[in-house]
This record gives sequence, structure tokens and C-alpha cells, in this order.
Amino acid sequence: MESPAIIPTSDIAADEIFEFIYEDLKRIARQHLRRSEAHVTLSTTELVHESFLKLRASPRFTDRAHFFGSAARAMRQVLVDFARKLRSEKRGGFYRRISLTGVEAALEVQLDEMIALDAALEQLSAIDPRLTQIVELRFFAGLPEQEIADILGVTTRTVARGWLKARLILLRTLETSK
Amino acid sequence: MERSRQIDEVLDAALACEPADRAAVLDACCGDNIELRREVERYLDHLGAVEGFLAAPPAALAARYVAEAQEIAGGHRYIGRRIGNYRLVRQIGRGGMSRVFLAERADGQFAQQVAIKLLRPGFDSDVDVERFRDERQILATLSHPHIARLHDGGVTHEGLPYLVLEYVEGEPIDVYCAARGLSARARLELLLHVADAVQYAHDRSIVHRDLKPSNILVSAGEGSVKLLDFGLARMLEAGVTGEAPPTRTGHRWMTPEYAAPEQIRDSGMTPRTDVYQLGAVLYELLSGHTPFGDRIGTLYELELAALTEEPTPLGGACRGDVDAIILKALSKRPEERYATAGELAADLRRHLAGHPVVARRRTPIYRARRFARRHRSQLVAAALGALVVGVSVTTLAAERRRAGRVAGRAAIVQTMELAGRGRVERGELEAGFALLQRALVMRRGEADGAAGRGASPSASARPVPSPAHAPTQRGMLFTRPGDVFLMHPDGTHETRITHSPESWNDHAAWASDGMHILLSRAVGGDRAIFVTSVDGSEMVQLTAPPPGWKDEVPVPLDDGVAFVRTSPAGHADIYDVAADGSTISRLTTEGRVHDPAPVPGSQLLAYVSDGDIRVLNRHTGERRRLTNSPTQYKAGLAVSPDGTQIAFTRIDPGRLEQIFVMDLDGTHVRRVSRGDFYDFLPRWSPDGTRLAFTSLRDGTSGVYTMRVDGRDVVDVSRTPASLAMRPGVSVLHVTETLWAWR
Repeated sequence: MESPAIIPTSDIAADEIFEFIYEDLKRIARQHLRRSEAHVTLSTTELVHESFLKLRASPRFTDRAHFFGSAARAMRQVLVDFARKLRSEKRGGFYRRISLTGVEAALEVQLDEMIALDAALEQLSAIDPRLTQIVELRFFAGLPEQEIADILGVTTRTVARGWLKARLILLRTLETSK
Repeated sequence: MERSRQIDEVLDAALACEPADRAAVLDACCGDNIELRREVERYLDHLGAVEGFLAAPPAALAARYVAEAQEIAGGHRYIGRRIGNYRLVRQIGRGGMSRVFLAERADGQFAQQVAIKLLRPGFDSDVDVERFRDERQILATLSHPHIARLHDGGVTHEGLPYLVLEYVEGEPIDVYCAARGLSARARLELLLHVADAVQYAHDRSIVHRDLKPSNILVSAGEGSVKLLDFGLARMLEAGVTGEAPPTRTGHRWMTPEYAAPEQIRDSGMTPRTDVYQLGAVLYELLSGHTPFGDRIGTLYELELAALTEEPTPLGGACRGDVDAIILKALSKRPEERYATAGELAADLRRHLAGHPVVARRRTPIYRARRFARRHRSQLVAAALGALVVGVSVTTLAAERRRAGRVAGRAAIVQTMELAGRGRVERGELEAGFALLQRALVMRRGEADGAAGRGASPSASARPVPSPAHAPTQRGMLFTRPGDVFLMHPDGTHETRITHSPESWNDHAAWASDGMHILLSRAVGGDRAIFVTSVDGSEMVQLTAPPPGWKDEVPVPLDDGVAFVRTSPAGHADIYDVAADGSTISRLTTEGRVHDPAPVPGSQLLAYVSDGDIRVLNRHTGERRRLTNSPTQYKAGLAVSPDGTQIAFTRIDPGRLEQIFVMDLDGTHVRRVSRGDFYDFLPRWSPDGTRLAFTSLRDGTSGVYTMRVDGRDVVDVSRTPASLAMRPGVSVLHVTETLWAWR
């Protein structure tokens, strides 16, 4: 059996990483608006790598696993906070929707989905924190399976299976919480 | 605890084995513990959905969040502003093209509150303004106690039209009913008032088209109903309240939860559309959710359900008359509904008075419905087949023939389009666009001929510029996600250049011969540079990157084409390929290079590397750094026609993207755009006096021009009618023609 490296989730440097990622994410998001979506997966991965390269210079971020774990978590936090804030802005009082285009309606659904996903991830952490890490690294940080395997110190096969299992559990959780 | 561990272990075992062995593994693990097996299967049931789940990159979400946050911030700017005799107090609503504010008299004459509806900047094209004017005209003809009144209207000093409307202090009808726990009878009576107001409009040949609880307010005090927002309303031909001629919108503005099937497919609207929406509102008032709102997750599922599924009868106290009335109002086929709101109201009154209702005399319809329902499964199967297996057009055509009796070809096409849009919304772009493209092909009735269209990449075949394909004048190339389009020189119409359903096309540019178009095309994960004739018929692959590598952003050179090649590890450098495709050579080695831009009349090529702008001489290989500020991200380079200046986008940390210009030696760096918006992708006018650029204003990207000193900003994206504000439209290549339009 492999013994996976558990990424510390609370640490003093998390704020710093969060700030950094947050700014970068906004930049990427803006660029995305004028580029074809085909680039975005790449951009997300690039973003995390780029941030890592920049931060690596600092003696506090020499631990690769630690860094990616915090970065992925920051990314998740940013998106969920953003979704919460937007949803409350859009639903404040009797704020009327006069007429919605499909895109706007879809956005509302997505905001709900992002918030529900966050809650489902919390539940997943209670079952198996390593599965949550895989989801964070894979979805929020956009890392390939090989890289996640290196970070967690497990085989790619384990990562692939964990990614599949995590999604099944999340889908089931989302289904029952609906 | 023990139980969940058991489930976890069996799940692990089931996932570890080959799919074919799964049943056997479950048998072995669970034995006769049926409960355990069922639990595990509830997880495995989701295997089919796993592929698309968490597949959309989160940055795409973030992009939409940012755009939306901007949009909301945009509304805050107006508070306190004076419009006519009124001062805006707070925003109380927002729609597709307008915002609504609570306002009060600013001249202190007397206390009066009104609602002011203001067209959003960016939605002030002729078409939008005309629609706004229509609304004003429609409201001016309506004077009814249950319709919010028009007081006045005008144009702000920056030219945005506005309406001054009666301010209704009340709650949406659904909130009102729920908060007071009204009886079903009281709810029906409230809806009768709404139906009366709608009938009053129908009598004047006006169809509202956007009936929903948030447009129906009930005042807290006297409980009186007010119908609001005729922004989507249309005037029918004089005297027509029946079937023809239907109104076509051209735009799919609607509120999906309440949209009638004919709105979803944009196939013409009559008073019966309002009848459907009244039925949907009534359904919601009595059940707490819209007709399909209880079981539907995404927008496209919602639209699909509205086209193909029957709403569940409410049952309980509504069994019988009320269900029959609602289901008649919600009929898929308009001709099976009540003809007007008045007929619906009359049937409701019959029910309230204990008389037999018209709706229940229609048993043949129920039989027909049941028939349709049986065939719906085939319809959906056809769509799902396309989703999951990617079946060919011909297979779909066969499905179509089978389902055709009930659904018809149109329904299949719609189902595909909905499924395609749904996939796009979920970020599954390639699959989504493939479906949309197939639907388009079917719409054009080319099902048999089109399957093999698209590129047949062949590195050996080179394009031979043929005069037969030479355009008389070049136009402006632009992209909408996935495809390249050409705006014709007179600005009146556009042509789609790429049609291949399997590919993603962007980064288009005119080749230096002025007759061919270069573009970057992605098929699956592979990307290469292609060259095509203007009609899209001769599509030839120009570069052939090694497996896993991607070739992007072609740049025409006098003697060939430069492009960016990206390695699987993300290292990007500029290469060039000779005009005859014979040799490919690498021009840079930095590994983080993008945005090549040739300097006209020279061998120089400007580009961005590690955040800074550099220039290289393609013949000598000499490179020079023009800027030295890597934290200020730069992109979108364009060199002036005389080769003396470079325009570019610069992103300072924490600031909006802005357009800058500097001399070719890196001196005289100056900001050109004003700082209020995200401005990017500058392109020079042929005489070098103006810049065209893309700008994100009020959440929508559009094309603008300005003088090189940043003055005289002109919005050009809506000048040619068909290049209207659409998401994802960017300036790629600007020619004389764009400047001629101004």
C-alpha cells in the first residue's frame, strides 16, 4: 500500500498564496474573455506553474506538494467566494429579472452548482480527504494525473481511480442534496 | 459507520476491475446482501455522467464571474444621477438590454416615486432603440387598472433612451401568495385579474410574451395586481388575435422557465403564447414550482423538457378541472390551447362557479398526448445517441424517419441544438459545437452531402492561388467561438469560412497574397495552421506539428508564414514556414513567446517574451529587448503600417487592461485608452492615424476605434448590422473597409 503525503491545509503562508492566485486568476479570466476557450485548460495549468515558478524563489515555498495543495485550495476558495458574492448580489431583495438571455440564466445555474459542489467537497473530505485533494488538484488547479501522482507520492493509476471514485461520490452527493 | 465502510470497499473493488467483470465482482462482494449492492449501484449509476462532470475548466467560470461582477458594478454607477426631473435612487431590476431604477422627483416640486427604465449602454443600436420605442408606443396605448402606467419618456444627454413608469410597490405574485398562505381559490382569483389585463392587451393586438411572477406585482396594501414590463411585447397585425401572422423575434429573448415551445424554437408567437405563460404562472402558484422546475437542473434540460415533456398534473385538490385547464393552457401545440387570455379566464370562472369547464371536453387531445409521449423516448434517444456515441448524420436521419411521424425533422434538429447548446454551456465545447454544426447541416437540408465536408489534411498538397476564388475586395475577419467569419466590405453581410463540425478554428488572418486566409485549427487536442480559400472550399494543412505539439497564431509574412508552436510542456516559440511549405525554421528559443507581429517592409518581427516586448531580425537572428517590466503583462502587439510604432495591450497588476503605443526603439511609451474599460487587441488603420480595438463594456465585448492619441472613440461593431454585440467577437484583422464604414 502506498502511504500518501497529506497536504497541510492550514498554514501561515496560505493567505499569501491566496492573494497571489486571486490576482492572477482575475488576469487569466480577463484574458480568457478575448481568447478561444480551447486555451483555457492550458491557461489554468500555466497559471499554477507560473505562480509556482515565481514563488519558488521565496524560501517559504520550496515544498512543491505544499505549494500546489495550497494553490488548488486557493483557487477553489476564490471561485466559491465569487459565486456566493455574485449570487447574493443577483438575488438581493426583489431584484427583478426583466428578461433573461439563456446565457444569464445559465450563469445563475452555474453559481448554484459551484456552491453545491463546494458543500459536496466538504462532505467528501469527511469520507476521504485524499479524494478531495485529487479533485482540487485536478479540477481547480488543472494539473495532469502524472503530476498529481508525483505530488501525492502515489501511482498515476491510484490518481485515476481516485478521480473517478471522487466524481461518482460527488455526483451521488449532489443528487441526494438536490 | 460499518456500513459506509462496506460500501466503500465494494465500490473500490468494482472500480478496480474491468467493466465487463463488474457484475461478477458485485455478486462476489455482496452475496445476497441486496441492500448493499443497491447502495453501491447508486454510485455506479453515475458512471455515464462522469465524463462531462468537472470537465469545464474553472477559468472559464471565473471569466464569466468577472464579467458578471463588472455588470453589477456598472449599475451602481448610476445611483444619484439625474434623469429628466428625477434622481435615481437605487436599481430595482435588470434585464437583457435595460436596467430599472427607483427614482424620485429631483426638483422638490412634490414627492413622487417612479420607476425609470434605462437602456444599457452597449444596447443602443438601431434595433435596440427601435424596440425601446416600440415598448413606449405599446405602453402609450394601454390604460388599465392592472397594467403599470407609462408617465413619460426621453433621452439622456448621452443619448440613451429611457421610460418613466408607474412605480409599483409590491411583491411578485408568487411571493405574495406564499407569504400569506393564500388558498388555491384566492390564487386563482388573483390570476383572473392578470388574465383580464392580458386580454385587454390582446384586444389591442398586443402580445406580452414575458409573463412571469416577477413581472406581476401585488401591492401589499390593497392586494391589487399590476402587470409590468412590456419590453418583449409585440404589436400584431391590426385586428389579428388569432393564428396568423405570427410574430418572429429573430432574438431569443425570453425567460426560459416560462417560455412556450414556440418561443424556444422562435417559430412565431400569438396570443396563445401568453396563454401558455399564464398557464405556467398558474402552475407555479399552485404547486410552488414551474412546470418542469422540480426535476430539471440545467437550462438546456429545461428547454428540452418544454419541447418534449408533458407537465406532471398537480393532482390533489387540483385534480379534474384545474389540472385540465392548466394542461390545456400548457399544450405544446398552440392551436390546442385557449385562443386568448379571455378564454382561459372564462374557463377559470366556470370552474369557480361550479360549472363544467371547456378544458375537460377534449379527450382526443389526451389520446394524442399519450401518443406523443410514447414517441418522445425515440426522440430523446436520437439526441442522446448523438451526445454519447457521436452517431453519424445518416444514423440520425434514420432515427428521424422513425420518429418523424410525430416529431418531424424540425424537432430532431431542435433537440440536437438544445443538447449542443447545453454542452457548450457546460464547457464541453467541441462536442457541443459538433452537435450544433450537425443540426445546422440538417437545417439546411444537406444531411446527405455534408458528412464528408471539412478538411482532409494533406501536408503535401499546397494551395494554388486561383483567380476564380479571388475576392474583389478584402473584408474583415473575425471569430465567434469555434469558427471564422468574414464581414464583407460593404458591412452588410457575413460569410462563414469554416464549417467543419469536428474542429475549432480561430486566429484567422489574410495571407499576403490577399486571396487566402490563414487560420489555426484544432481537431481533438491537435492544432495546426491551415490555409483556405475565401469560400472555405480549399482547406489545406500548412504545418504538421510533432505529436502533442500545437501550432497557433499564424502571421503572414511577405515570404512565408510565421507561427507560434507550443510544446506539450507549454514552451512556446516562433517558427516560420516558407511560402512553398518546404522549410520550417525556429526563430526564437526563449520558450515563453507569444504574439508575433511583423514590421512592415522589413525583416523585423516584434513579439512578447516573458512579459516583455522584443524584436528580432529574421535574417540575422539578432534580438533586442524593447521593454523591461516583466510584471506588466503585455499582449496583442500590432505594428503601425509605416513600421515606426507598436501598439499593444498592457496589464498592470490590479488594473484594467489598457492599450499603449510606443516607438519601435522602445521609447515614448504612452497610454492611449482612457482607463475605464478593458481595452485590448489594438489594430492599426491603413493610414496609421487610428486604432481599432476590442473593448469589454458593460459585460459585452465590442469593436471600437479611436485616434492614436486616444480621442474620438467610435463604436463600430454595430455599424454593420450583422456584427452586432455577440459574445466572443474580436477584431482579428482590420482592413480599409472597416475604416470606410466610419
